[in-house]
This record gives sequence, structure tokens and C-alpha cells, in this order.
Amino acid sequence: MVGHIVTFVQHLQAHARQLPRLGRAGSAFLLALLLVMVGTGQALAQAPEGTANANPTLTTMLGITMGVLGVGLLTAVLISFVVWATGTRNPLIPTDEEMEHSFRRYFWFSVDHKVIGIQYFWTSLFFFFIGGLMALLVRWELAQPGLTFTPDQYNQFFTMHATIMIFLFIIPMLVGAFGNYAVPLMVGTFDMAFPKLNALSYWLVPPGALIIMAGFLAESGTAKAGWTSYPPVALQGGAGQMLWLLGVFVLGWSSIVGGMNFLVTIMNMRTKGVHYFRLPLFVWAIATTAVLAVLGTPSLAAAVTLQFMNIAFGFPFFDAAKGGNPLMWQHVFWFYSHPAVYIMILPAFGIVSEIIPVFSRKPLFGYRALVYATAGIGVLSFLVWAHHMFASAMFPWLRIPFMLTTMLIAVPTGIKIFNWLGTLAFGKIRLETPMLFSLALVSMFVIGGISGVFLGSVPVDLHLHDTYFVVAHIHYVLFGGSAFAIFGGIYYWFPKMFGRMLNESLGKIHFWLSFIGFNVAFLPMHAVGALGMPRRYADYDIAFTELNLTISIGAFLLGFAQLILIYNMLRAFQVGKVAPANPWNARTLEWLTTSPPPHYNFEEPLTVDHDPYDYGRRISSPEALPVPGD
Amino acid sequence: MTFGRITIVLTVILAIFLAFIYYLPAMPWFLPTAAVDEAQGIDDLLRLMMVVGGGLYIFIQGFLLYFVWLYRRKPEDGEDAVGRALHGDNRLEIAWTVAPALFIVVLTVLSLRELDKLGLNEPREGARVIVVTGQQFAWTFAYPETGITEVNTLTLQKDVPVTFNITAVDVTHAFWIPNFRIKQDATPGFTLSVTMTPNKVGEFPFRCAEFCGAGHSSMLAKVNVLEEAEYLVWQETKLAGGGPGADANPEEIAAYGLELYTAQGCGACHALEAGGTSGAVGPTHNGLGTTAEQRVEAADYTGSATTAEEYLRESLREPGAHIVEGFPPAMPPYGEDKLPEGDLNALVQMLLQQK
Ligand code: HEM
Ligand SMILES: [Cu+2]
Repeated sequence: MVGHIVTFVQHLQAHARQLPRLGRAGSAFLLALLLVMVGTGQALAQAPEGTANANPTLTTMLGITMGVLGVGLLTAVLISFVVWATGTRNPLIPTDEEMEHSFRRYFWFSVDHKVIGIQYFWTSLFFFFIGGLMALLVRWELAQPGLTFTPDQYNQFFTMHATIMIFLFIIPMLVGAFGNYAVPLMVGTFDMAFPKLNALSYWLVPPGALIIMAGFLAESGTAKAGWTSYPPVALQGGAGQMLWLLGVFVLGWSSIVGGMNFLVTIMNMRTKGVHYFRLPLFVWAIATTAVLAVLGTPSLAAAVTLQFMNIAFGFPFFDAAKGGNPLMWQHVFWFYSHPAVYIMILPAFGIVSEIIPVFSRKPLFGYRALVYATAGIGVLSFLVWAHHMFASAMFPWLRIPFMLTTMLIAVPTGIKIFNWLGTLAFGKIRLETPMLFSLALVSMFVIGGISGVFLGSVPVDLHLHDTYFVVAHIHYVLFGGSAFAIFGGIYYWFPKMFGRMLNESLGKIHFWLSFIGFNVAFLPMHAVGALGMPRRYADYDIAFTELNLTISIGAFLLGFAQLILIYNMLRAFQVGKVAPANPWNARTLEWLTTSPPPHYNFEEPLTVDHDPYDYGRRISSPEALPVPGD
Repeated sequence: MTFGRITIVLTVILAIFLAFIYYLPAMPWFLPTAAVDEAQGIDDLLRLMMVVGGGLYIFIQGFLLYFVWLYRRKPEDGEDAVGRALHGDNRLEIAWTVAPALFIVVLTVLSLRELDKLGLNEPREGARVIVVTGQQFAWTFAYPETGITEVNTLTLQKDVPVTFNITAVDVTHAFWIPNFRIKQDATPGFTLSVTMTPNKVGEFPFRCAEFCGAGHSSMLAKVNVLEEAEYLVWQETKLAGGGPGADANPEEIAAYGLELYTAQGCGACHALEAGGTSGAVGPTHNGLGTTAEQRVEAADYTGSATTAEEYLRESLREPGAHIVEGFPPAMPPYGEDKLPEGDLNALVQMLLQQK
């Protein structure tokens, strides 16, 4: 820090002529920052705290301070970004050239998509463990009937668990980390279309996260109305809920910015020879996801803005007592959040579509069918939202059209599964860790897809809705699906990202413990839900004791298994084998350059004359891959 | 193994598995016993879906494992062995688009038919009306025909259809009796009607199924389905009005107070040893006789009571007058309609005795 100040001062001295301009920009900056911070502090201090808040306690003050700091950081990010993007040289931000090879670049605005990908990677992984901790607290409470924590604390745990896992782990990991790192490499280009915007999309994440987490210090705690935040109960949440809304807004913003960038990159930055039907499936998945993010997230932004105004300024939007409509939230929220579940699964499907052909040593079966299925799911995902509301107060006849579209979406999902099976047939299958996780996805996701069809049938859903059966469904698609794909992706791309191989034996132990822990934890949830245990219950009927204890044991095993992953990564940095350019003998473009790739990815522009998965067409060895320019 | 033998093995596994799944819903550890006419169709549909879904799963899983085993790379293949360069097959694509689509169409049509048959939201001949109101954190059941109102106990007559008019006053809750299957959100500003016919005598749990705040998991009620004769007896007793007479002694009044305490569901939010409750949303009621005295005397007291008794009456009638430090203002006011003067008195007397 001191070093930076010294550099800054030296810089000012050396460029004395620029001083007035910097001075004006600087004071405007400070003024804006001050205004925003005072404003937020004021709004938060007046939030209906739940308790009479005449004299807020120290922790509330701390919470408010942290929230304000988060907002301050957000403002700083935005203003620095504007100053920087308009070309004013900001002496606080060294250029990428100045930082090349320096560890520092991971902590600054860097425009290199690989640095940004790695920033996203570690941030999301960090939150995976925080979110996991929340999950274990939930399972600790539920291991036995009776209360260990207060219901109020319990509600905070499950709300923060889902919020963190969705907004700070799965989405930023799949789209932010893997998308950013791999997409430019896979289309053979040197960076994203808008590198500065890309930096912005990452740098919106820490302030968003800080704002949400600030709730932990507020007296009335964090948000506690579930990740779906249904009003009117959410309106009783006070400061924690307001922070949640603000944080989600900021994270949503990051998604929109990132989404635009991916679309333009994929449309305009493909290197010579990479036409649309030569794009790897992961790129198609990210493109579809980007469309969903760009079209859907504004709806979330609108919803959280309205709820914020409802709480902070007493607008009546969702408040039935004032003539508002609580149901409106559900429509607007799910209009984003159903597509969002596909934002969370399509890139996972993309990863699996990369890994399966590589480890089967065969072309991807039905490439075009997979592309169309991806796009089809993208379109349909906007037409099914009210299947989350079959038991709500909406017009009962509305259930019928939404049941039809929901059932329909299972068809393209099935197409994907069958094409992966087709890829396995007649292959030469290698069972390394990335492949194990991908096969586990195929197997576990099918269970989630089938239970999804149960839930899509209105009469059946009227029984299963809002029970642990839905929780089981969610986890079979999001843990057995998205998280397993993320693990597969980590084992697959880690060598490219960090230049070291992960240990295979540790990987296999991680896989098997995760797989067993996962099923012990989530399979019994189907039964406990069908038997009558509602979700979001801090305490339960003693009839459900055995099943809940089993679930908790599975959950702790699953949690423990993840420590092996961390150990494996840390170990790789110390003693891991140095990764060759193409350790898996894959044929997509990211493997044509060194591990990790140089600053602009490829030594010279590529011309591509082959499909991404054409194993078997020529001899598949690194030497036989097309040389750049041939 | 030849392809033929594999097929036989797979078929046998499949048959055992499907048989298992088919009987799963009938076992007490997958679905609670059905207690309304409407449940049968829903259970049958779920059972069918489990068989179709389970069959599909075994089919996919069987191929997955079979391919992984059959096409694994063998040591003699060498490092660089590649598989056959198959890029796809349009006939197969069509087959595995159409076949699952057919399954889906069948399940959808059956679901539509079942929904239609349930006729949940249409008025039904001879149905009795019960108004169900959710409120943090208790359920009120009102019987407009007779004017009876009960809290947290729902009494029904076997084989008489009931139309539940479901609503809420503060936040969204959900009406759910697992043995009745059908669930309906209770949302303030909306009233939704659901009609069902109980067909089993017994006591069933009623659980709030839409997250409604700190007392969500204690927002439980009890459902009693009675034969006609017993139902009439229950109705008589209710209409005669409960509670001890004017000349009752303090013990009788307090005992009635404790009954009300349980019936009104106070324990969802409060702890009271005498009533065996441990709610933690609001302050404890253990020792309230003493604490109430201290509250009115405390410097931060904001209400207008001067004695412990007045304090307790105020806390029930107008809970907002004074909020105990550290608790949310979550308690609903209990007016005349919910707690007539006599009942209020019994409750207050009972609480005053908690020292
Ligand atoms: C075959 C495809 C699928 C179908 C037919 C389907 C159907 C459904 C239905 C009907 C519900 C509402 C259940 C209820 O609340 O009663 C639901 C909930 C949910 N689904 Fe799916 N689903 C499918 C795939 C997925 C995928 C791919 C994901 C995510 C990766 C997903 C994530 C979720 C989540 C998170 C919820 C619960 C949301 C909440 O209330 O917290 N589903 N699904
Ligand atoms: Cu959905």
C-alpha cells in the first residue's frame, strides 16, 4: 500500500502538467463516494430493523459500516472504470505490461481474460466453501429433531447457503471463470471483445458479495426469507434483506455486462476457419447462457429494485396490506430465475460435451443436434416460469399452459443425454478424473431431470411442491449436475490455467467420496419430502429422524471430500507435474498453446481447418494437430 | 458376454427394479396414507411416473455402464488409440427425440385428465365451507354455517366434501395436510378455494408449507376426521361454548387458560413449561407472573399498563404497545373476535400464575 502511494506521488511529480485534471477528477470521485456512502448509511440505519432500533448496537453499526464500505467499493470500481475506460491514465492502475509476470496483476484491474478468469476462479471457490459451511450448519441443525440454533439463525443459514452457491459460486465459476478463461482460447483469439468491460464484470463481484455478507453483522442478521425472497415475508427482513437486494442487483449487473461481452466475442472474434458449426459445445453453451443472462437478468434487477423501494421507502408494490400484489414478485422473479437455472446447467453441459469426446477418443456424437438442443432449451426456458407457482394464488387455469411447456423442455434435455451415450459407444474410453465427474453428471442429472418431470405434472406437484422432494430435485441438477461438471472442468482445465497437473489418485478419491456422500445426502430427501416434510423447516416431526440423520451424515462426508480438492490444488503448486501444452490429447484450440498460455494466447494468428472433435479422422497425437497457420 | 445375454440380464434387473418402484408409494416410508378421495388419482399418477421414470433411468444407466465397460481402453490399445469416427446418425436422433416425446405426451395427457377430474377449484354440490386463514404463526378455521371458530385444530366429517376458502392476513403461508396431498398457498389479498372429501377417520398433521418467517416450522395444526355422530357431538360442545362457568374457582379458570394456550397455538412462538412448548420467536412465558411486574416498572416501558394483570391484557389485545427488547414486533393482536373477554381473562389468570 505504502509502495503504491509512493509511486503515485512520484507519478504526480513526474507529470505535473496533468495535475489539474487529476485533481478535478479526484475530488469529483471523492465527493461522489462520500455522497453514496452517506446515503446508504442513512437508508440502512432507518431500515425497519425488526426490533425497535432507537439505539443500534455495535454490531449493527459494524454491519452498516461494512455495507457502506461495500457500496463505497462499488462506487470506486465504477468511477475508476469510467475514468479508465475513457482513456484517462489512472496512475493507481498499472498496465498489464507493467504487471506481466507479477502476482500483483491478480489484485488489480487486469484486462487479460486469463487473469480475470483466474480471479473469478479463486473468488468462486472461496465462496463455495463459505456456502458449504452454511449448508453444514443447516444439516447440523437438522441431524436431530429439536432446536440447536434459533429458527431465526437457521433461516439465515439456508438463505445464505443458496444465495452464495447460486450467485457467488455456480454462476461466476461456470460463466466467469471457465467462460472467461476458455472461450477466447477456444475461438482462437487473443482476448475478449471488450477487455475493460470484462474487468468491470469481475470487479462488480467483490462489492456485491461484501454487501450481501454485511448482513452477518447487522443486529437482525442477514437476509432470511430464502433465496427466492418472497414478499410479504421478505419485507419483514430489515437491513439484512436490503443488503441482500442491493448485492443481488450488483451481481446481476455483473452478469449482464459479462453476457454482452461473451456474445460479441463469440460473434466477432472467432479466428479464421472457426465458423459457427466449428465452435466447441462449451462455446455454444456460453453463448446461449449469455443470451439468457442479457434477456433475463433485467427482470431480476427490476424485481429487486421494486422490493428495495418497497422496504426502504414504503412503496406498496408487493405489500398486500397497502394494496400491493405479493404474487407479482413471484412472476417477475421466476421470469429471471427459471432461465437462471439453465444459466447454471448449460455451461455444465458444455463442459461435459468437451470432456466426453476427449476421453472417449471419438467425435462428439450428433454435434448439430446438441447445438439445436442447447438453443431450444434456451428459448423454452423463458416459457416455463410459472411451474414454480402451481400451488400459488395465481389463476388455476394458468397451470395448464405452464405444465405443457415444462414437460416439453424435458425433450431437448433428453436429446443431450442420448448423444453423450452415442459418443461413448465404440470409443476407447479413458477413465481419468474429469471423465469420472462427467459420467457422474450424466447419471445424476438424469435423476434430476426425471424428478423435474414429476414436478412438472400439476397434480403430483401439488403434493410435492415446497417439500424436501424439491430440495432433492434441485440438488440432483445443481450438485449432481453443475457442481460435478465444475469439478470435472477443474481437473480438465487446471493444467492449462496453472501449468501444473493435479494428482490423479487424489482426484479419484475426491470423486468417489463426493459421489457417495452426494447420494447418501440427497437420495433420501426424495422420500422425506414425499412423506411430508416441508422445506425450510428448522425443526421437524420425530418420524423423520432416521432419514434426516442419514442425510446429514452424507452431507458431512460430501463436505469433507471437498477438502481433498483443495489439498490437491495446493499440492499441485508445490510438487505437481509440470503440464504439457496438451495433456489430454484434446483437439480444441486452447490446447494448441502453452500451459499456461502467453499474454496474447497464441504466438501468431491461427487458421483452423478442422472440427473441434475430429478424433479418428487423422492420427490423434499432438504432432498431428494442425500447426498454426497451416 | 453376448449381446443377447446382456439383454436378458438387463431385462431381469429392470423388472425387479420396476416392481420395487411400483410398490414404493404403497409403503409407509414413501407416501403417508391417503385420507381424501382425491388422493387416489394423484398417487396412481405418481406411481406411474415412478415406473416410467425408473425404467428410463435404468435404461440410460444400463447403457452408460455397459458402454463404459465395453469400450474402455484396454492395455493392448496403446496410448493413442482412437475410437470410431462416428459423427452422428439422423435416424437415431429422430428416434430419441420422438420416443421420449411420446412418453412425455402420455404423462402430460394423464396429468391433464387427473387435474380435470380433481376439479379442485370448482364449487361442489353439498360441500361444507370452511374458511382457513393463515397468520404468523397459527391457523384459524372458521365454519360460517355454525359460527364456530377454532385455532390450530381442524375438525372434519368423514365422507362430507369440504370447500376450503384459503387466505392469509400477513404473509403467504400454505395449506397442506400431507395425507390429503393437495397444497394451496394462502396469500394475503387472495382467496383460493379447494374442495376435497376426507374418507378416513383419524388424526392427521397439518403443516404450513410456504416459508412464512421464524415460526414457520412450528406453524402446525391438527386435523381430526370424525364419523358423523362424533362430529355432531363436537359441534354441540363447541356451540355450547367452552370454558368454566362464572362461579368457577381459580384453578379451573387457569386450567381452561392452559387449554386455550394450546388451542390458540401460543406455543409456536413462546416457551411455557406448563404447556410443554418451546417457541423462541417471542419472549418466554416461564415466570411471566414475575417478569410482567418488572416490565411495567422498567424505565424503557412504552405501554400504558400499571399492573402485571393490565400488562398481560395489553400484550394480548395490543402487542405493539410495548415490544420486549431483543424481539421482533411479530405478535398479532388478539381482539374480541378471536379471544372473547372470558377467554382473555382465563389466559391472563393462567399466565399470572407462572412464577
Ligand atoms: C427436465 C428438466 C426440468 C424440469 C421438467 C424441471 C421442473 C421443475 C419444476 C416443475 C420445479 C418446481 C417444483 C416446485 O417448486 O414444486 C422445479 C424446481 C426447481 N428446478 Fe427444475 N426442472 C428441470 C430441470 C432443472 C435444471 C436443469 C435445473 C438447474 C440446473 C433445475 C433447477 C431447479 C431449481 C433450483 C428448482 C427450485 C427452485 C426453488 O423453489 O428454490 N431444474 N423444476
Ligand atoms: Cu424452473
